[in-house]
Amino acid sequence: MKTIPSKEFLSCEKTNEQRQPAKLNNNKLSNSMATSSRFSSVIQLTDLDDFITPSQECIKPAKTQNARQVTSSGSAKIQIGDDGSYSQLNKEGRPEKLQKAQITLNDCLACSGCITSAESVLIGQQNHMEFLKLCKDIELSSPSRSFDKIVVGLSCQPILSFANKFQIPPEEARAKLSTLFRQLGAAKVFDVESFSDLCLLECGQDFVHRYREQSTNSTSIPVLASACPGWICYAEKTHGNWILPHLSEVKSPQQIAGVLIKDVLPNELQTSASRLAVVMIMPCFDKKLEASRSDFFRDDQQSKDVDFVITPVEIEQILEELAIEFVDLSPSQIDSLGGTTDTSWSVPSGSGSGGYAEHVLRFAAKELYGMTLGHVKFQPLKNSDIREAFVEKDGEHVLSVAIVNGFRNIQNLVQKMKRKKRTYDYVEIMACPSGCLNGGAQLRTELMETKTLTANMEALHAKLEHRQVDDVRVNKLNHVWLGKASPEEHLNKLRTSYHAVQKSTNALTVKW
Amino acid sequence: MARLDEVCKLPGHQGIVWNVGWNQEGTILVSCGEDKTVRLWARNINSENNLWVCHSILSDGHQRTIRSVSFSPCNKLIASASFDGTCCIWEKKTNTDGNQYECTATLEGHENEVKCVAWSTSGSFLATCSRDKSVWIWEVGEDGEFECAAVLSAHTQDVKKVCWHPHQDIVASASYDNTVKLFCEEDDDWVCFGTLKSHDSTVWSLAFDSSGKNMATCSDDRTIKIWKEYLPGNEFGIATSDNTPTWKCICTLSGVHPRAIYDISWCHQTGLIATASGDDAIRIFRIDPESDPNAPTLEQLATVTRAHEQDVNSVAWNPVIPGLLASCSDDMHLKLWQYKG
Repeated sequence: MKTIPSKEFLSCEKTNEQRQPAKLNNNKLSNSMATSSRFSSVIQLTDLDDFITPSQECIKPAKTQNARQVTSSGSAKIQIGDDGSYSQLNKEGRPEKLQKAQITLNDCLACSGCITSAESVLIGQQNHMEFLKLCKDIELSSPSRSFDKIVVGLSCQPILSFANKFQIPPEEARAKLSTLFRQLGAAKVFDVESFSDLCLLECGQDFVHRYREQSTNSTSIPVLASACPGWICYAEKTHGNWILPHLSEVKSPQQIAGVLIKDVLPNELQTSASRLAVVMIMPCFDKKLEASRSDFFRDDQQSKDVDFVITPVEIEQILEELAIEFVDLSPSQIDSLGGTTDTSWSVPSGSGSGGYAEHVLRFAAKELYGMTLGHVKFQPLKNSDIREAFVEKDGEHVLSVAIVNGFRNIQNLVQKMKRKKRTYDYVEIMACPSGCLNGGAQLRTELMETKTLTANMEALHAKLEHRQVDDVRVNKLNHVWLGKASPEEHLNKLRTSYHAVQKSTNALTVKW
Repeated sequence: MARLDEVCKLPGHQGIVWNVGWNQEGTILVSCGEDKTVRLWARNINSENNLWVCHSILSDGHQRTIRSVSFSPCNKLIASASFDGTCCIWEKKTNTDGNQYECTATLEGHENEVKCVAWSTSGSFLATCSRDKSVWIWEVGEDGEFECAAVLSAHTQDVKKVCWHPHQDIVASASYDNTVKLFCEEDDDWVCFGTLKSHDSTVWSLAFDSSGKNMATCSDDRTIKIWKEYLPGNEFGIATSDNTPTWKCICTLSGVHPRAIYDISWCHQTGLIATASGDDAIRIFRIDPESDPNAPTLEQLATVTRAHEQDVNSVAWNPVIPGLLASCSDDMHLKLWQYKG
């Protein structure tokens, strides 16, 4: 039996252990979360806290502006109107509309407070419905529409996801997706991989620069790729300032594509950056978080570089809502990036996540050691989600890169770095096991096991045309997309920075 | 008449004692608690009554309460799991008389409080579980450091306990989500191959019997349940999916414990089951050997109603000395008991 404790603080941790607060009766949702969350498992582990303690404060406490307006009984009366709006009865008993407290997705991410898995799902779901509404608004020339024109960027992993699900060649899936978005009103549909060259070249140059200064700067090596937002969120939240200097500052292809599209296309489409909706088709919800980072918001034009991120599972929902059969869509062309007349589809040589490790190894071998590499073979270590490759000179490993996928491998890499053990010179880190081909919002079929699905996806990816970053292409791209930019502006467009997230002090972190 | 006699009381901890365990030879008792220390107790052979005394205090390893502690099968290491989110590995210092331990590794990674740590019987793996709903499997890498082998997010709530199978590299976890889950290694990854649902509330603890084919679970719902493993193609006609064994609840004991049951220990030598309860009592049971193995009954053999002055948090049978039981409580004491059947 519990005796009344003589000291008030006694057993606070004990009561936390044993207390049974009302269990959120969202078992169904929790179960579906466990099996089919669209976010990477890394985001899920760092973000969720269904156990809400009594004294936990939201970092955005509601400002009480009308505190003096109370009824005679001393409490405020609030009523809910038929339209769902809230109004407070003032002293005369007349309703006054209450303003909704606003919390942005970014505020919630920055706080490790109350956001639950349920809310993450709901926030994630908003995007494709909002996008559909926008398409309708534009079609009907509705005066309240938030944008006038739409441009879509297709990434290769969602394309392969559709190809696998419907058992059609990847090129056909690409052509059908292009048609779908044109039907929805897109003025242009691009391959995001067309912009990858710019990203990869920048990654290579960034790495070589940091490799060269490692004797004077202890945090320059290893360089960790920053294209995966799940990994970035985890690094900023859980490890903070000691790891951030290791992150590559180069933006992901999604964000590079977004910023360049918003720079160059508004003119051609006779609109402005803030009225042009840039929509990216990506394999996971983590990319939505990336698009909503404040670093990717242009204050002067009050617009985001990427406005919407839509994923394969959401596209399926769109198809269902509009009663469109994917297989019935006729093919249509993808737009080429001006300056290149090339409309054929090729992806960066290397992994299905974007080929970062392979490109950096090749580029650095050439720049630093004058070596031209042939086929690069990545050797798996204790599991297939961690693979390494080296450049050897005179029997020694002069350059080492690795591909690290999945949370357990990320953990081990980060802990090794924390213990100051030698790891690699460059690491391509992806939060999802097997990388982006197995992204959190890719299509799944009940019949196919994850292993088979992954193997299929990798086989499809291997069959695509692979290319290496080529100077001629890059020059053309630079000319069209970055033409008038000064070297400093060039850097701003292609690079970003990271911010450690302060852990909020809440009841749980107080020492009892 | 069966009895559970108190052998001695071991004060010393400066706060709630959360967990007790034994080394493989049954000669050292290890405990941990709110005072952020791990204590080692052994019989003082120099004293006239062979009293148990605390011969080591391991401190400065953790910044918060230590919730769970466990000796490795090789006897050389002690693992401690703490609310500070880390797990420490303690090793005996080689240059002393053998009672000094130092923290040689810290396993980081859990998002918040770590609730339990357990060594696999083979000694190859370590499992930890946490309020962050995940179970982590660790193994020793090439450089002698502990590396994460898997992060298993199968539970939907706080995971309270992990316990390894006595013979295979299979680990079971008990959670606030009312279920027990079973994990094993498949190819190069760990998977959940079974979920045991029957309890109405948090499953606080679990224990395998010596064969590993039976499991006892205890819960906040004040019941003990016994579960049995049925292999594919079993002669009892119990259906199994694919080629994985299935576990069924074959016995539920209710109406005996008036409060939550926080720990359960199943002696591999004697088959006795001990429970630690929120009503300050310790109870001893065993499966009635005359009952049907597929629908057994539990006999209650002995009860000590005021075993401690507050909640009993943990009980552990000595692996070598039959009938010797250790317990610990919110009242800051450990106690040793001798069962006489």
